[in-house]
Amino acid sequence: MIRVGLAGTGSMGLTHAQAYATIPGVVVAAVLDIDRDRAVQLAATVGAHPYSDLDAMLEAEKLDVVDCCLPTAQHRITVERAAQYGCHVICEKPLTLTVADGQAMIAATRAAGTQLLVGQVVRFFPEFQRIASALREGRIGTPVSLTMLRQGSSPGGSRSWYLDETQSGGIFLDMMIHDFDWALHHLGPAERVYARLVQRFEPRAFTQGMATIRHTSGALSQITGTWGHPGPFTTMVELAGDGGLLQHNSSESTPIILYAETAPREPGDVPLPDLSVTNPYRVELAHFVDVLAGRAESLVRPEEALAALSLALSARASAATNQAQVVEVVAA
Amino acid sequence: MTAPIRCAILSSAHVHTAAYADALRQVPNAALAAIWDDNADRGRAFADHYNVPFLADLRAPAAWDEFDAVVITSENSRHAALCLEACRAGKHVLCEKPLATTNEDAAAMVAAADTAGVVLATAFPMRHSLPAIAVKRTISDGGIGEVLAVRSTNHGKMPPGWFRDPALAGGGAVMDHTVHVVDLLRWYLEDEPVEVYAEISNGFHHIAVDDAAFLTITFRSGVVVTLDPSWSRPASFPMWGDLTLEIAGTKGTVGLDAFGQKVVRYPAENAPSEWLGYGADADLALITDFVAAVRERRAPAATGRDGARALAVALAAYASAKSGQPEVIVP
Repeated sequence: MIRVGLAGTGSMGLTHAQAYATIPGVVVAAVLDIDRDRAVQLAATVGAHPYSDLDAMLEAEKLDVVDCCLPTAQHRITVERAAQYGCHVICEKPLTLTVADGQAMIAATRAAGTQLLVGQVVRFFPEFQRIASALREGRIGTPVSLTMLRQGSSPGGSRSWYLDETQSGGIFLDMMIHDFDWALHHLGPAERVYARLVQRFEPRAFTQGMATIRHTSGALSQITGTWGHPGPFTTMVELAGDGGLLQHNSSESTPIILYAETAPREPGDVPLPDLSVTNPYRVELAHFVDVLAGRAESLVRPEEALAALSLALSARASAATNQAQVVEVVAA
Repeated sequence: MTAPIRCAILSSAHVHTAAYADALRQVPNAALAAIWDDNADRGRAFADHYNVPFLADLRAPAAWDEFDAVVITSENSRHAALCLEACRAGKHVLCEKPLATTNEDAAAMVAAADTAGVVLATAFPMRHSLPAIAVKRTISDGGIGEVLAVRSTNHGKMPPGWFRDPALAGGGAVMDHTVHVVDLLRWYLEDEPVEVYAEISNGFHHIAVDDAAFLTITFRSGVVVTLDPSWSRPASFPMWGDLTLEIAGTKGTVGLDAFGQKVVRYPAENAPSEWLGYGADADLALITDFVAAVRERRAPAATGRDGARALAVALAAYASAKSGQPEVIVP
């Protein structure tokens, strides 16, 4: 039985806790939150021990893996401590806030001989996997251009740290990292990126990041992320090649449509896609459990999470300077 | 009943020529008077089809006597010479987009029309698209507040023949499809684009001009626009392409799918499905507006200056693709 120490009880911590409950061979043994009440509450729900101190949790519990669902600024210290205790780490995206931090995290887990599994969950969304398999099957020939869109409400939960760039890295690192990772994984390394950021807080919070990437293969990507979209959470991907075109738009792919006279759902901390048919977080965590049990190689290599971070940082730098940035190849 | 505005078509090289000719026959107080074409076989066939005289030589002294206005639907790089000749002859001009292939040509066309005191209109039918007009009204009425950012596409299939010839087309997908969206947004925002960044490639069809591109256009107000003008729709795509906008403002977001009024047809045989459009005919409205502008001596919905401004964005996009950095839009 793989014993998980779940660090963080925000949107992702809760989502992960629910997923673990359905995955055989894994148990949430401990729950960590600096807000002890929250830790106690979730720990009681999943039958785990609550902690408000990381070292205390690592010391007291014989954990196999720490699942880090804390704000991004706390990823590095959490991963390094877990590695010191010989724990594997499942780490939410983005890996961290700087390339140097990411390199240190990878080095720490390497030195400890433990896995660093980064939650680039879009790899596990079935629609994105279907596009990836069609690409592999040669159904669109050589890919030429990729358009990706991800838009949802502005993350505005009671403890929202997402809009604080020092905590989350901002929209390029926190939201668009999903699409940066997917684009790099399928179209190869980035050569340069140009990005713009539009942000307003009055009369409503609106943030939109727009990035254009030239890959070294010559393929092009244009990626848009929106916080503050007034419509439902939406993703769109279009992958066009010299032999065909693949499209998916979440607003046109609705296997279940429910109309009911219920109160509108309270918006959570962070906008999430509809998980009611297939829960990709469960698919992702089940895969990570397989990796930890030695049954699979991780689909997300830490070096890839670092490359996505590097691209997101270059995009953010481009938006800040209004100059295209060369994307450096970073050594892990 | 006043005499109809007699229009000659100068060249049938462009794929839109037939739509304009059909419209000229439908618009009250307008007439399709003649067709000239530097390709005599193509021109004669066109003239025969529409049962109008074919003009073999535009330099013949009497050639210009039989009409009041011209519709230029030649290859892009030949617009300027035809327009200058028409202005010299005192004829009003409706010119296919892009207005020209260089900023110098576009400026000369605008100046020639001003000097001659004739109407110079650029064929931007999107200004007459009913869904596009509805979005204009939404924005003007403050429905989405202050505009902040726009995502846009003007996708197409690979066009035939000279569209792929850099000397005649002046470029590829960027030249062909940047101007429609830019003109719509200049109209919507009552603002000018000042800077553009572009990545281009010819990866779809491996031709001599660009067929794939992503543009990022910044307006003076700070509105940022992303645009995909690519010829990325495969031959099997159910329509020729699309024009879509998603405009985000301080109070809301409005989307436009200009050709979204469509019925889907699935053929019995093993063939691609089709989208059958049922939107109002914007080409007819375009010709109607041009004829009215000529008659009333007023500006058309989109002038030569509008055409020149939109062209300047496409040209700056090419400069950006070359330099790898955003480029200021001139003029």
